[in-house]
Amino acid sequence: MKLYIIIREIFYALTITLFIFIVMEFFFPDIVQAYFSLNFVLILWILSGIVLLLIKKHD
Amino acid sequence: MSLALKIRLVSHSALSLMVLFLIYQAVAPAGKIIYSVTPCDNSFFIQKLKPKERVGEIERANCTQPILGEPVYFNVNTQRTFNEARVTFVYRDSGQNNIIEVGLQADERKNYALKPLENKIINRLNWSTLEQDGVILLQREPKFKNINEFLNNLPARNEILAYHYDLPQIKYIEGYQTSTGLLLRQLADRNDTPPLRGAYQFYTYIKNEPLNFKFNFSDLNINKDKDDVKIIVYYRNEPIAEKYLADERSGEEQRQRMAAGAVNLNLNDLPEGFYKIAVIADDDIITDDINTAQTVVSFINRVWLGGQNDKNKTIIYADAPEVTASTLNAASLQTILVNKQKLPLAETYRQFSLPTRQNKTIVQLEISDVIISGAGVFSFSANALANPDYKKMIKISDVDAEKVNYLITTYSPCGESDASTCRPQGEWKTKTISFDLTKAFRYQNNYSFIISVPGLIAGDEADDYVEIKSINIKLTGKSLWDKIKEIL
Repeated sequence: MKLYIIIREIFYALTITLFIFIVMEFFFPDIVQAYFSLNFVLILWILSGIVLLLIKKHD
Repeated sequence: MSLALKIRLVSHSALSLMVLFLIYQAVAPAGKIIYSVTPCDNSFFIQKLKPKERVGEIERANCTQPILGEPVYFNVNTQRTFNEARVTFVYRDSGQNNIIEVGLQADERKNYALKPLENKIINRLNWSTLEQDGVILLQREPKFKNINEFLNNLPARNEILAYHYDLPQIKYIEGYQTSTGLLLRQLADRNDTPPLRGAYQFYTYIKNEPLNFKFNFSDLNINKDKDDVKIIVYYRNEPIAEKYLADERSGEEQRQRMAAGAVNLNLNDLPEGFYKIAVIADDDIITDDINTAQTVVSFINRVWLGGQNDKNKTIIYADAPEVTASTLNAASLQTILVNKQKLPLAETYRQFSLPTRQNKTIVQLEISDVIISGAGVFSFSANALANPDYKKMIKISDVDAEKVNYLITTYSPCGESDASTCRPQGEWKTKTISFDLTKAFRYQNNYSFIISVPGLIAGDEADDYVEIKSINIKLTGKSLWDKIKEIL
């Protein structure tokens, strides 16, 4: 249960991060990509989502 | 506090800090930001040297990269505009190239404003030196006490060499014969100029006569862009007249050469002196002929003989101390005669040079579609050659052979670096140059810089190079508070 909560919160945090970064990139191109790739955030977000689903299914 | 709340507190705080950091970096509220890069880094802000063909492999152990051919370029990407860039290079070189310059793109036609990074010819001179407001005068024998005295009593023209300093132009030609005095020319304008390709600039001279030129253009229609032509007349560096020929032909798809129209330039009641005429056009435009009554028609620094498969012999008169030839057309490869010395134009897309060190040089070509360039002027008849500018220092300048006694420049061996940092640390040198970014061309958040090392050719037999260890750029501009004050 504890692991599920941690992964869920990471997933939520990455969702908000991804959304904010995309909005920032839309209005100010390269403001985020100058420092790190949005693809990296997207991959982490997908991975956290998959892990979250797997844990939920397992429980 | 529950576990979920604790994690949320941490993650949201981290996200807020990240967003604040990104905004702070993009806005640079203090109006200052510094970017540094070594060739090993993949920086978003200072991009890699290009093109790849002119740079060597990165040496990973020391993080250095050699430049093997010139020019090379690098872009500086900034989220906002700045007013000034102080660019510091840590570099070393093989010692074979006398001049290293760095420039900033000034306009969309890819003109770069160059500044000297190193000039070994000046570094080697052990002459008496005067300095005043960033201007340096070197004298073989100390004759002038200050630079103003020198500027007010300029010695003979052939004794002076200028480097990154604009001396006032010569105003008048002594004994100039006006075109109105030549009856034949008055009756029929002459056309000495063969077809020319692309943009060019030339000097003409007016004395009690109208300025009269008729240009006929054609369009090669090789590229699909609009091929407009703009002609600007300058007097003492100020534009006094302008003509525009818009491309309304729409024949780009057929890729067929077609007539592009004519432009007449007629200006009366002009004061005596040199006039500069700039024809701004892209490489699709051929100036088929220039009909004029003017005696002086001297092309500045470069002419591209535009005759396609034209095998007429062309004679060019020049005052450049070194003549450089290049071509993009394999059919134009030939041996050019420069003062009867052979200059083989053996490859396309490569420059071939021959020093002349003479005030009058004759260049003979058998085939057209060749670019002839040099630090001076070029004309197509002997009496059309006149240059109001003082001689400029180039990579092969030899003050002893050319009997130069005075050198005026804005270059100092330490540049804008502190004397302590400009001293070489081993082979590595550190030099700083400032650029005014308000006059720069900025495209898609990028400022474009050039590193020019005249004579450094990739793929030639010479083992010469300039090796870059790091580039540091300090950008300064308006602070956030200045911007707010402007709005209020």
